[in-house]
Amino acid sequence: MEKMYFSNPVFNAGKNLTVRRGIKWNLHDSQQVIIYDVNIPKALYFDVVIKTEVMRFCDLEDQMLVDEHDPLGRTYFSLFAEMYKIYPEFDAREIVTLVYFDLGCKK
Amino acid sequence: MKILFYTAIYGTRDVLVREHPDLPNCDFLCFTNTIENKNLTNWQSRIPHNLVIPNYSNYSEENKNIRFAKYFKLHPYLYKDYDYIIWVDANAQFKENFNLDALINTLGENNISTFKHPMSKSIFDELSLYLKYPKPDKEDPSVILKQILRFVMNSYNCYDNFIPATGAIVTRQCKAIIPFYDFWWRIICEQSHQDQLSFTYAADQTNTKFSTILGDVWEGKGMFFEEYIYQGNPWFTFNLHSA
Repeated sequence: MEKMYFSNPVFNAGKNLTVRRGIKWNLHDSQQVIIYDVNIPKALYFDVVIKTEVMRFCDLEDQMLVDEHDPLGRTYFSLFAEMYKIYPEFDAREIVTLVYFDLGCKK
Repeated sequence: MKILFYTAIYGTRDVLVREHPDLPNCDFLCFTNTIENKNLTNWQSRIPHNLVIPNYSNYSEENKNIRFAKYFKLHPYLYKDYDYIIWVDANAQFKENFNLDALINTLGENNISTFKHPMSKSIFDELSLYLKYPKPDKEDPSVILKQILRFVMNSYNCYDNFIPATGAIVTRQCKAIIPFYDFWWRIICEQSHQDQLSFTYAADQTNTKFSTILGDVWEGKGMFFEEYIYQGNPWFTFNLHSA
């Protein structure tokens, strides 16, 4: 099972979204992943079912980001700033994968 | 020097059956949503799915697939690890004695080169061909008419242009190509998906100069004019699309 790491592992109680650079996370729908905090070698959530979409970053709109897990990434511009922080060469025309998952009943 | 050859197949229009030659420092990448194309040849495949593009819901399934393929075609600047990025349609076959250096040298001092359309001398020629000969990816001709109207309203000379045959496009990786490709992609999203209609307009609007690859994309007896014998080119044979 794929391990998905978060540098800021704060999540909504139910629906969540994480935006990832490139298409590495464009896995088959209903694929399960394990969620990790990048700083702690212990899994936070197991068997998390994901659904993905692929698009250009610059085609994102604010309303698509309401479920973004990180409050700092819930608008286009704030998310761009976050991406830019991680990837200084990030170009808004790059392709990204939107990974949706629900932690409603996860422990 | 690293070179990427890339293509895309979305839907059933083509099947990647043709192997590429072994060329030093070159990678060959096919974007597809057709699982049958995976591992079919020596091309590497990527299978992005659930793609979302602007105006997505307005398109038919076939037109969506065409635009998905064009998404990859029109974003060569994202393949940053490569010095040259060469688009080839999936129906292209590499010729024996394929000379890569000669193909790259077609760029000259420009950053983009492509073939000239063997028949069309203006966007109106292209429109009349479009109306006359059915194509599997046919879209409503009014879309093309509206596109021409937009060009005219922007004072673009539609009567005497270079109409490309974009079955192969050589691109030099540099920042200067980004405005052109980005502009071109936005036209494809919002207007006709026939990229040969908007290539020169996008180049004109972004002050992008391009070079012509000498030769015909067609070879032998003409597809449309029986009496005309097309000369072909030294690099590729473009086969008829499978659908």
